[in-house]
Amino acid sequence: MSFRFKMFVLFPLVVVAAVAVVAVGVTMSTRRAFEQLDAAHTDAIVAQFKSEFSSQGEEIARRVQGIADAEATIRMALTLSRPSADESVYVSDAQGLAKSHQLDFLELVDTGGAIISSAQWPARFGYKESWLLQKIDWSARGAFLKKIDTPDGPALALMAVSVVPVGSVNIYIAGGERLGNSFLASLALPEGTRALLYSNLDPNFASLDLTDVNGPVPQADRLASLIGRELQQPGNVTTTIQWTPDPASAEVFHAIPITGPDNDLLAILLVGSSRRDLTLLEGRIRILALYVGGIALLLGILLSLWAAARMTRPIGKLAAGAAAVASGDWNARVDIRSHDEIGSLARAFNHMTGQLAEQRERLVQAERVAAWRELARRLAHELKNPLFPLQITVENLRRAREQGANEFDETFRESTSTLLAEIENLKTIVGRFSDFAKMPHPELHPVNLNEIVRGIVRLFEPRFAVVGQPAVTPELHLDEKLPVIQADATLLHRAIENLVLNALDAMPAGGTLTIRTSRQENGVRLEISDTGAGLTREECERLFTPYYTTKQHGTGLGLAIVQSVVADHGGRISVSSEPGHGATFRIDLPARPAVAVAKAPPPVESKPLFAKRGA
Amino acid sequence: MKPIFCARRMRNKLSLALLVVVIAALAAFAARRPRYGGTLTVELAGRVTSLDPAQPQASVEDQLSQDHLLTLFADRLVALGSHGQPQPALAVKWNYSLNNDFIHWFITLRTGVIFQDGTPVNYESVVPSLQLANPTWSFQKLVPSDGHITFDVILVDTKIPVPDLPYILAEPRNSILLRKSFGAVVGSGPFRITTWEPGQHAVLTANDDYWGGRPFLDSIDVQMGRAARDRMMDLDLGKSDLIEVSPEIARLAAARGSRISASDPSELLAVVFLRTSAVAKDIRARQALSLAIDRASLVNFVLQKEGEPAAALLPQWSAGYAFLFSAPFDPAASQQLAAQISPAPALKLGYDSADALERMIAQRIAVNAQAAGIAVSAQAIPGDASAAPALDARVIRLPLSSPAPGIALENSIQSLAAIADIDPSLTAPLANPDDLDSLYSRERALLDTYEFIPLVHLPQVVGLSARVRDWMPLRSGEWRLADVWLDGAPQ
Repeated sequence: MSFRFKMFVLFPLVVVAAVAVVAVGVTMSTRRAFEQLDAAHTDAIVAQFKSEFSSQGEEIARRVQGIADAEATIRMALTLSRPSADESVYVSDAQGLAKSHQLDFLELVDTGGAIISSAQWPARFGYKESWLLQKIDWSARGAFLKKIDTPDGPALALMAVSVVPVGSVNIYIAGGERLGNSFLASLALPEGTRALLYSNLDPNFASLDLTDVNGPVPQADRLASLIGRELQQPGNVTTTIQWTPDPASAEVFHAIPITGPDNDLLAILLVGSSRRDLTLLEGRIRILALYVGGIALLLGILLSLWAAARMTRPIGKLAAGAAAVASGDWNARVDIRSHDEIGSLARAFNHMTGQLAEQRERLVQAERVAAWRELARRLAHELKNPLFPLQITVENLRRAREQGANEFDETFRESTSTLLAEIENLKTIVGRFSDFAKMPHPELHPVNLNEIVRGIVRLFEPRFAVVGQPAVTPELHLDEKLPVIQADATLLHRAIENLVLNALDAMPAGGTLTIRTSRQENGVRLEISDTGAGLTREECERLFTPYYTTKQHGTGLGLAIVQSVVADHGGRISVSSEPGHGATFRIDLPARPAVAVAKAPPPVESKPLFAKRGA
Repeated sequence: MKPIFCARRMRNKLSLALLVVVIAALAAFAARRPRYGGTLTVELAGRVTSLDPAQPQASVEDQLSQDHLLTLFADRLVALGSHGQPQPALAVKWNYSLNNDFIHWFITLRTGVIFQDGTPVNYESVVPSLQLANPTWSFQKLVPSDGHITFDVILVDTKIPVPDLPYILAEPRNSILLRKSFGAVVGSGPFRITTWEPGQHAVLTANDDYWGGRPFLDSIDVQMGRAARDRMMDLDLGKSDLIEVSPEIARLAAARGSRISASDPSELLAVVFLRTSAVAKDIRARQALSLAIDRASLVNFVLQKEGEPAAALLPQWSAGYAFLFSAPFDPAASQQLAAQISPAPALKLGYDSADALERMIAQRIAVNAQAAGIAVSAQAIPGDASAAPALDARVIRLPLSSPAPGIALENSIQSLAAIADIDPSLTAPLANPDDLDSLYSRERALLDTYEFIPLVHLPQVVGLSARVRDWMPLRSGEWRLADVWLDGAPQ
């Protein structure tokens, strides 16, 4: 991934991330604001509920007291205070009184606690209402919450009790109103909120006991767990219910316990706040964020394109300069005129390449000098050996001439033979150097490397088993599916021959010569291994240097020729060895060498070395 | 001169006083003397949809109202006296065959009687009504002749002994009617129907040709389906002369000064266990419920002392042995019995949703049962029977169909057997319906099954305006408006 692409991606990402962070932040703060609003609404509704509870309680107490103060009630109390009074006459009175005083519940109870008449359960006359006999100042208590039995099951009521005393006899008037949807309807609720009332009438959760202003709440079971928690541990509990898959249908419920005079939990007020507005607002924020993010992304892309181009252009120039240097153009320079860090870097680069070119020139010069010295040393060494016999032979001739004619002829013949042999030797030496200097350009033809290897092995077979010398065992591991490559068979033959020769020289005590060919991704590999004494690391590093040899009488040109041939074919040669474990030469050749390689310029050795020196 | 003057003046005063007394006596006599004329306004609780007794009515209340109307425009072969004894009506005499088998009866029809459309009352016009009401019977016409007058004698073959045939012939269902097209009926009774709006309104006018003599009233205006409160209000306001009054409000009405008349108990309120109920299969559950019910409270509070706690099917005045039965209120024993049942019995007790008294009774039973540890829920049975809930028992009203205890008992048992799981041996006809011992044994056996629980015997209660005179219903509550006249009606 390019630096420019990274820069191109980074800018939009940063922009989008920034927009997302802003959107999330706004959403969270909006949600927090809504929660605070919900809490305020809940508090207001609870306060309103208490206020309504109190005012309706006062009204109920007033109505019940009105019944107690009525003339008919007092007459009834007087009648019932007499011995063997007939209560049956009044059995239906409560229903009429309840209706006329707009009470849902009304019971007339005698001094023993027995029901004289009941509006909510007319058939219950005669049965006891023991709770009325408690020693309580009913007029001081006012209205209170009470669970009332009815034929249809228990109901929650806001009750008040008045007592009509006649002598030692008391008549109790207990009346009230059902606490349910009509009570909830009297609450003025803010928009988006609603109040639900759960009457704790049954041991288990009963969905019909949960009402809102319209009666039983649909899907009341969804609130069962909230109510269950509230029943187990009364307190302010909050939960969120999503009624439908639409998130806007979500509603937050706050549960507030409502207790009776004995602190028993009789009801739970549930204040529900719709999440619709919040969800819609959050949706709008999201859409806005998407729009802003989209526009920002577009601007970011354009900006990043411009910025990346502006920032990466000098870097690209630097990279191109570096690549040119890497490809050998030591004169490569970067044209950057900025005064920032990139400009400093470009100037440093230009300075560095200048220094490198200068140092390379010096190094080449030094290497040339070293090469000439090595050549001179090698020439001196090579030429010195035949010169000494020449000198001896000439001196022998001179002495023979001085000593006599008979011996001179004999000596002359021997000396001239020797002189010719040594001169021939000198010519051979000179010929080798001449050959190295005249390495021919490879002429590429389809070549089967395995065939070349087999031909060389056949050529060297006599030398593998010379009588009186330790035998060398050749082992061939040739890949028969080796592809045909474009190469100069003669040059390759010469190079492999040199390597086999070196291997044989490395195994004077005999051993195994292993030649292996294999396919590579775009060419072939040839490995020639011996089991000789091996090479040191330093030897390995200098092995391909011309005129460097580890042998007693080597010219140091063999491996240099091999390397030259391999390089002319666009290949690579390497050696791996450890002292005592033999050495392996590895040649990788491309199947089709590049044209540039095929038409490589003549070797450096062909340059007129002395011209520079003379200059 | 002064004593003579004084004595004359004294004589004049005595003469004047005597004259005043005579005038007052004459006025008093004139006031008690029945007068013809006037319209009696009647308000009924039920809604009569058909005047044909062969068409069953929707409720017991409607059926009673239909019976009241039938007595006005239709006769039966036999009438009942004020004490319930059979009396000649369209039949002048009845005899069973000489072999005392009570199967073959000879009924002699009254001569010279015509239906209100002029059709003579004879064998041909009477038998269709009898045949419709008694499909198993067969009839044969006998025409004896005494030389001058020809009597139609009907030989009735009842197939089985029917010792109480006269009482059966006196039942409203055996009213003699001519059935015309479109459901119209014509009777031979003291009044003829001149306006008929089914379920709403009827006007009957006096039948001048009535064989028993023209009734005193010129007409009777009948309003049907009036609510109890409206009926009482109309009576108090003088808008009606005769209304049906629910027993539970009779006491209050009387206390307010209304003129109230109650018959002897003629209706039984009872709980019947339905044969479809699994819970009611256990006799312990049925007995426990019976023990849990406080009948005295039902009478004293719910019925406001109009009625009698019932332990038997027939009221005391009918068979005379009702006092031998007892229905103890024993919540503790009920609780003990219910505790033996596992799972604890839970009953659904139904009541007619249109009947306030049944509702109150059912709710009170539920309260009593709850106190004894039996779960009873009172559930309304809607008018649409298909929407009725599955019930274990229901409150029913059983009218006393006849003053003859045998007939009343058999009819009641048949009514119960229609819905309850009554042993077939208890529904078989009685060998001797007049034998009180066998009646008692049958009733005892029936009550011991606890398939039904008698609650209270109710009277028929009516409210009367002050101008209604000679109101003399039968003990069973049946109206006899042919004898009623209105005070203040024009002569």
